[in-house]
Amino acid sequence: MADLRCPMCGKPNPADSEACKYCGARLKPVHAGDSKPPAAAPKSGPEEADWMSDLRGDMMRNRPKTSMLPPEPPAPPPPSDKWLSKIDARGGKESKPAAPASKQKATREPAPVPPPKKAAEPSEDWLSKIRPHARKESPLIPPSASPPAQSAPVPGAAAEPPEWLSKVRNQTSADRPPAAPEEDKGAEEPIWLKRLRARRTQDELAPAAPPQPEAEPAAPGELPEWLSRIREKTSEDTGQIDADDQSLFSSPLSPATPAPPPQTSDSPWGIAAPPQEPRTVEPATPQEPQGAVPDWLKYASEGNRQSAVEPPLGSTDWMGGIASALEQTPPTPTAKPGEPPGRPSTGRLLDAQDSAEAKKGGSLRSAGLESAPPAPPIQPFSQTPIPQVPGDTPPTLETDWDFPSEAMPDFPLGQPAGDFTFPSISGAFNAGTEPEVSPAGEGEIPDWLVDIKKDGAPPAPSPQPGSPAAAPDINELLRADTLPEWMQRKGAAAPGGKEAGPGAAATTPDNLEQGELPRWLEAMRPIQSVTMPTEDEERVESVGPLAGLRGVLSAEPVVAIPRRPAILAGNIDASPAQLTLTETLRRLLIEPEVRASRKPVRAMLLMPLLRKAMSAVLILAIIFPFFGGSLFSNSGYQPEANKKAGLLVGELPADRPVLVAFEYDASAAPEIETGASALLEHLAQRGIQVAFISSQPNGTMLGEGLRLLNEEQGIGMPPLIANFGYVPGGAGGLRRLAGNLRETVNGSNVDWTQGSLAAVNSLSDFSMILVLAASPQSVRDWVEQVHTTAPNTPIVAMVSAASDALVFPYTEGSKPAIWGLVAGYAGAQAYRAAFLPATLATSGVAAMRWQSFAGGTLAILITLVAGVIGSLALGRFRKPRKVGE
Amino acid sequence: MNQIEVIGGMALGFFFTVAILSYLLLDDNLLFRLGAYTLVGVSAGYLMAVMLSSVMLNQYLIPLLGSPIQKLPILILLMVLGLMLFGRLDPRGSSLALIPMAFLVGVGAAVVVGGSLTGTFLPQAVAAAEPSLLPSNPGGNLDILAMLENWCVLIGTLTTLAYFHFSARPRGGAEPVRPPGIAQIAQVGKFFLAITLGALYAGALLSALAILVERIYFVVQTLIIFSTGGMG
Repeated sequence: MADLRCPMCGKPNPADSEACKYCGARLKPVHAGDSKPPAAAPKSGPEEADWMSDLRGDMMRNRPKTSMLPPEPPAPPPPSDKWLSKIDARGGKESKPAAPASKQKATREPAPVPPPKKAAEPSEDWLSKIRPHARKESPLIPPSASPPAQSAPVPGAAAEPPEWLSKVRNQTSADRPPAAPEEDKGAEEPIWLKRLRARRTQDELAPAAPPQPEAEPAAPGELPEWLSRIREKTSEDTGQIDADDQSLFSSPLSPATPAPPPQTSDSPWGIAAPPQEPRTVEPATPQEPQGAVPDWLKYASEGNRQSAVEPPLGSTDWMGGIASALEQTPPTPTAKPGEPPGRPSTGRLLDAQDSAEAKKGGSLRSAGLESAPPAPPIQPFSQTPIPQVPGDTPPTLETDWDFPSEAMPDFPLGQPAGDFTFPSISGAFNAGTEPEVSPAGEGEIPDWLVDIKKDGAPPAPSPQPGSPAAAPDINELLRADTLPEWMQRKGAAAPGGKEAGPGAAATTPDNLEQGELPRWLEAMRPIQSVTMPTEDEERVESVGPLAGLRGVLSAEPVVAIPRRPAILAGNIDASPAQLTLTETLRRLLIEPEVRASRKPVRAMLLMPLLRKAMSAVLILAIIFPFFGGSLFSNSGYQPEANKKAGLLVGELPADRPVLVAFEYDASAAPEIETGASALLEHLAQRGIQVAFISSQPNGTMLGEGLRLLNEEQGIGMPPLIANFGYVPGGAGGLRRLAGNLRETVNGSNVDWTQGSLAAVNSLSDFSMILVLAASPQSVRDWVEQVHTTAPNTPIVAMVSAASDALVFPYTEGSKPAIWGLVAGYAGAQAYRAAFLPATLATSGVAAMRWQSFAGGTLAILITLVAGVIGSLALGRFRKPRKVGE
Repeated sequence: MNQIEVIGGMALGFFFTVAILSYLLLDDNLLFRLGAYTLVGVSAGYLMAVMLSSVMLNQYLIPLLGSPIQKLPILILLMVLGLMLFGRLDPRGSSLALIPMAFLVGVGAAVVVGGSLTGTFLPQAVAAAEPSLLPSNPGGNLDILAMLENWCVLIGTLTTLAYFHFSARPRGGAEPVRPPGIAQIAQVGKFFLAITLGALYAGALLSALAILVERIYFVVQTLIIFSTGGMG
């Protein structure tokens, strides 16, 4: 047996099932005359019209698959004929806001059907009573044409219009605010009629309104009896009402509406209609029949011509059809206590539905659904959804009543796609290509309702050709040449009656080609670097008690699961020049790392070995004299400055002290003290007194130690007459020292009366300044700050070998700043050999040190030469290649 | 110095010398770090002691207490400036130390610049211009060696100065280059610079070698003394 697939959920069901066992939707369509209630319909009365069941089922089938509505359980047969209440209840359900996708599963549980609102309970089969009454009054409709389901006679229907009309009038008066000015006019004039006339006139005079349909003034003889009486009664007070209604019923939305003329020939009423008020206030007077079409059908046919420019909901004129029917319905629901005074009684019947459907943007009632007779399902266009036009600005709908805009949005244009799924009326509604405005009081009953009447209602008269009430064929209405352009596109976007969802709205039309972005614009396009993850319904739980189950909801949202973003690097458009620069940057960033990673291989193996080899070579060269080796002469090359230093010391006066400056630290003491010892020994030979000073904190301490050590070793040291100590301030301190010697060294406990020091008042009183410096900067400070102040005091420097090249220029010139220079260990040895030959060691430790120094120098020289040759052989001196070569 | 001080000094010197020289064989090790840190710490401690005794005590506090009243404002001003330097200990008071720091930097710069002009720049310029390009010996003949020396000094000075001439004219969008004459002269100056740097490097090597020789001899001497049991 083949399964039936549910049109709602798509799941298979047994072939003999009437309703889907999963979602409860009706599986088989209900045709005219079928008394079975729709399975998916909510509770309704036993006398519910089949056409409504079909319509409801059709709507359920047309509902998008992703609808958030819970499946409706199979409902028992309707207990009563309160189909309006069912619509109300259903509308309430459909107006629920769409649940989020994450809660979709949760909302699939069968939801209880909300009970119909109290306002709709007293409704009876009043609509069914309308048709016999209309047919009875219309000569074009045979009495036998009434539908079987609504063939129950309405007692006293022909004679009741004045009664129920008076009830409506009384009720309207009761609903009106006590401060309303129209109540003062007495009960002679029905207020709803005033509004109706004012609205009628306003609609007729609307400049933007399309031309009126073929609404000819009804002949008095063609009007129903009840309507004729109303007309006769109301025509007497036309002038008074016109003047009052303009001020009473002028809509705030149309304040600039000019005052209508007292009487308009186009109006079927023959009087000017007041500004439109909330639609249900006035029981819309049925328009006089045109031809053989009854009133209610005429409204429907005229509603068919309602264009997209002015949808029926915005104008709310379609309610006029219902109102006209209500005029023939004896009882009307009573007003709720808390209802606003502006809301009419008829509106209370549809109050819940209005509010619910108004939120959705859809308007079933705008299509005249409430007054629609039973009709078979319309299969050809029932699947056709309302094409949505995202982005298209719908024509402005001038709501002509004072309802809040948020409570009654425009219909249907401007509604987001997917929020509203139109029932089978969509095709007929869309067929209205010519914008027309129905007269006040006329219900905008669309074509589908006409077709329903024509097909499902047995007494539906055959409309005359050319009559506005003649409902065109739906296929004719859906022709491509009759549809507006925007509707054709949408129709092409959703062929086959598919759902008009967002995806359908985004479909590219056939007559448009895919645009190609220019490169510069494409480069500015944002790159979709992250693709949003989707819920994997087939995910298998791996841990916990639900391990192994599929489709288990994850504990955390999908978007929160850490994952590597999918970078769409292919979208990056780069020119060849940019790629070249990118490659260069990559090499600059990566290749040094590669080289650095290669370097430790050489460094860890070669550098320690090379350092140990060089250390071994130097140590062997230094300790070579211990084994009796003597390769070098004790006397070396004596520079001119070295010679001048010895000559100067040899010529110094013995009665003037020499100032010795110790400008070195302990690390340079082994080198400096070798030359210092030679110079101090030479001064001692001359019997010259010395005074110590230093611009470094530990300078004089080293000088004291040197002198004491030499004295202990029997080396002659000059007598120390004063230790000036540390002179702070660097160059500034030396400048101050050169300017005021005694004041600068005042705090060093110097006895200025001791020996030759008594004659010393400044630096010029010293016979010589001996600077023992390890750095050229110290010598320069003494030259720049002291020599410029005391140029007559010669300066002799003993510096390290490293400072020789930088200090030597001061010894050149006709007036050298440094008179003599002794540099390094070699210079000290040369000085000793030249001026202290008696102390020159030819054996012992001192002679061995000189041999060690010479041997070490030779070893360094050989090592340097070997290194240069090896580097040349290995190509280490080759010019490194540039990046990119 | 008594015998204990000499032996103790030699022992400490031997230990720290060996600790520093251990870097040659063991790279960065505990003994090397111990010797280095001890040298730095002792130097810093001695520096602080010298500053307190030689500067704060002898050159400030004693004159402050014993100086005549006329010099007190200057000494107090110096003390205030010195105390303001402590503001650098806290970032909130660092601006307070800007005044004495500005004073120090300004005075030091003035002293150095003045001394450089009068002690180095002008005398060196005069000394470089004095030698004759055709010197003669005392006999009145041309001194060839002196002439070569003077010409070498002149050429070396000019070309070295030309090497440090970094001005270049822009050539539209191309890379700016030196003037043609300066570029070739600078190449000669680079040669003289290489010789000068080589001489400095050689002097540094000789200084290090002299220190190494002295230390090795100290170690050997100490070992001999300690091994023989006497100061010899």
